[in-house]
Amino acid sequence: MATTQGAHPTGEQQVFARRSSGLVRAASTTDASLVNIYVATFPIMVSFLLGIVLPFYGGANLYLTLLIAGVVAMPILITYAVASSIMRRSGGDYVFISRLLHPAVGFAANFVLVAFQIVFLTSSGYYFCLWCLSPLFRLLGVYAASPSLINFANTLVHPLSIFIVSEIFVIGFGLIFIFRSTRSILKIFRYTLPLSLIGLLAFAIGLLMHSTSSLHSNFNTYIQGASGVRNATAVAAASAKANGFSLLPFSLGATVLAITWPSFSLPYYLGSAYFAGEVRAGRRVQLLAGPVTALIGLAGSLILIALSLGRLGSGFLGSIAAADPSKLGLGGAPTYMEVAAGSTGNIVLGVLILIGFGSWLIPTVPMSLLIMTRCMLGWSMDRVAPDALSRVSSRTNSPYVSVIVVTVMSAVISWFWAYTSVFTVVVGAFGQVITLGIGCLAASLIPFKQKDLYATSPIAGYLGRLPKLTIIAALGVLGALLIVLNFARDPSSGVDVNTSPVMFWVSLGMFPAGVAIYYLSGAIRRRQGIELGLAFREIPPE
Amino acid sequence: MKIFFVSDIHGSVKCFRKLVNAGKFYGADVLIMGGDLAGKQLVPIIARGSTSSARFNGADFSFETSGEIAEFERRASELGAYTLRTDPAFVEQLAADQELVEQTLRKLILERTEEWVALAAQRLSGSGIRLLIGLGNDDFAEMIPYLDSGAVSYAPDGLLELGDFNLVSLGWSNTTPWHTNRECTEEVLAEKLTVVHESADPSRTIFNIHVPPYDCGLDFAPRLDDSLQIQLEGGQPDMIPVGSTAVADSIAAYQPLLSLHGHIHEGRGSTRNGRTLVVNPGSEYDQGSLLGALIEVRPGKVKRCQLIAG
Repeated sequence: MATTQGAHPTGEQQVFARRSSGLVRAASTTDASLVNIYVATFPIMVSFLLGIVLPFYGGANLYLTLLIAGVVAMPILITYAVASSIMRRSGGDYVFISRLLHPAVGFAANFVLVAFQIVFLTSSGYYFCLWCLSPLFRLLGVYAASPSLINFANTLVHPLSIFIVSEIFVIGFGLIFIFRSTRSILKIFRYTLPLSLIGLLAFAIGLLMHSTSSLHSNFNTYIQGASGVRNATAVAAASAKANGFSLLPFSLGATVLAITWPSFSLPYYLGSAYFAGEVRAGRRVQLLAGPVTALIGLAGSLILIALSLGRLGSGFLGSIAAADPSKLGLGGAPTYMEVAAGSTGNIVLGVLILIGFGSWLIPTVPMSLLIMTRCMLGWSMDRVAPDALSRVSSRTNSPYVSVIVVTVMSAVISWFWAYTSVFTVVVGAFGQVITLGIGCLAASLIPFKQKDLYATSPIAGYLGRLPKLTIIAALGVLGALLIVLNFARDPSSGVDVNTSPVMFWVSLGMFPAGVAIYYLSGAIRRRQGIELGLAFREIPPE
Repeated sequence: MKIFFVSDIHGSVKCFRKLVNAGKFYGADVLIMGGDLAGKQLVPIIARGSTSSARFNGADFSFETSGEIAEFERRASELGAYTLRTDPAFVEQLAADQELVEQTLRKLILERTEEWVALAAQRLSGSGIRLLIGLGNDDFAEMIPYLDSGAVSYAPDGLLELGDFNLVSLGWSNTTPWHTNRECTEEVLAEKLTVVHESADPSRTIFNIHVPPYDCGLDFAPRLDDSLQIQLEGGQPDMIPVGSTAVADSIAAYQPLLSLHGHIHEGRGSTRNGRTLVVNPGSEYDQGSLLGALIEVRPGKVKRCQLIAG
């Protein structure tokens, strides 16, 4: 029996369906991809590349760093896309891994995902305050020549302000989820997605309409208006030089080490392949949605970097990021978006750039809330977690107990973001990459454990005696391992084994903790007459 | 009494065999199939000279030997499809005539149903385990005569004694976008359900109603446009309640001990409506995974309920 790709040579209709319920057409791939790009927030990733890699990873080539990170992430993305089209992941990684490996591994992997997702969730309020609100009020203050607005902008970088904004973010979304519905928080994207795209357009126009010297001159005017510091470009260059910054020749080591930063974003362009109908005529198109979306995100990142470095200059951006912000009269180093907003010399473009940039930070909160509460619902439904976690509101059908749990935990973690430096976004990614690696390991077994599903799928095939999916999935495991190892050796990651050993070991310890929770829960349930192991144990089909 | 409840296996041979084996596997006293036994898709295997070809799940297959064809037929049937060895001329007729598709599929569905019931009757014989099969909106009345043999019996619309309990079955749904065989308006559904209220003790009553109650959290399905395309909200399928208001009213008014449902494959879960435990095990028949609910009941109490993916 041979499987071939593409249309049947005769072009005849090959599958016929009855008038029966549930036969639907898959969701629009374009719609799904657009939101996937939005949710994966590539302009935020670029902010880390320009704000951390450029000044502190001497000799790193940002373009090459992105491309290497893309190559490492791609097998993970392809594996998830293929595996999702064969085995629906309606219950998330938890169901998927539990069936293919072991329920304890499935739960532990999912527990790790939830534990680290909360770091992502709570990062949004922190960065929204620092990267959007504060610069926005500063920009308005400069153009309105209003010291009170500028003072307010400076106040917004204080820990208490960050904490308050973060709490409003987390609790606000939690309340919308509980009292309105899941649909309501997703509807927010209708407004924020266009804003984020308009922001990018304004960014491109703003940089392209001026020469480099004109942009620098506008930036000097902006900083002078904001803090009274004259010739900010020269001041930043001097401060950065004093801090040891210089543009070094290409270093492959630094370039590879820097994949830490794109790796917190690129492997997560997942999701759009989940909506296949029951008669799956168009699955190959869906198959491509995740990886292709990642390529679009990668291309978008490269364009943003090229625009930033090409128009503003790597020396200029590097010195601003490396300089002591207090020398510029600022509470924190301005992001490339604030630099662009200030350099356009145009308040409309500046405001659009900053609001757009802030809009890229918003989807993390509702998506994280959704992911985490869905996981908790799944645990509760399978009796691993207390039954209360699956209680839903009779009015809105929201899993209000899960939402309250996540919101309370997030409110606490937000304090750590505001008042300590224990978390970075990479810490959030660390555990999630472990989960992705375990997911790839599970997917590698599909051709052996789900032979019929694999044999009848559009990607069934072998290279030699090895199934193609197993080979891709093995590369996915390797990719996840490389990312984790890079996090563990990169001193800037916040989770490296040498400078942040506590965070490293705590993070790594989450997985065995998840396994322990599963077995503890199993022991408790057994006393109640419920055997947890039954939830995913396959009934012999013969 | 230990019940193993499943629904919506839609022609999956693998799921049905698992269902038959589930009694011994879980130590269940009774297996209840909540409807939608019938599958949905016909996969022609088209002969052209010495080779044959077929399309399934978005992939094209070509076959050189009858052994390859038989293996493909087995795999497709495991996942709910009905294969038909045929020629290009008949495929052209099928493409031009939806009624012919319906008739051809009905014949194949009846053949498979007969085989299944014979298998179940043989395997369950002497085990003390009963298998009750109700209908769903995708099934059709001609299947009923095939559903009684040995330990296998049809769960008719209305009341059926089940040990210390009364099983109230209703194999209909409210209207759907697909205009299926056994669907009706909410008013008609409400009429069909009024029979129940007059005749049974709620603490000993188990509902086996194919469609779940409206807006109970177990009836959320993707919103569709006129072309039946899934609509997204924020990149996620926009899920809306599609259950029956008549069933919701009936549960609220009558408060049976347990209410078992299917129909909405995505609606897996359990919830409470007053004293009633409402359960929808969901369905992943197209992956050969049997989703079910293992429930232990005694009069006046649901002792335990566990959702499983067998």
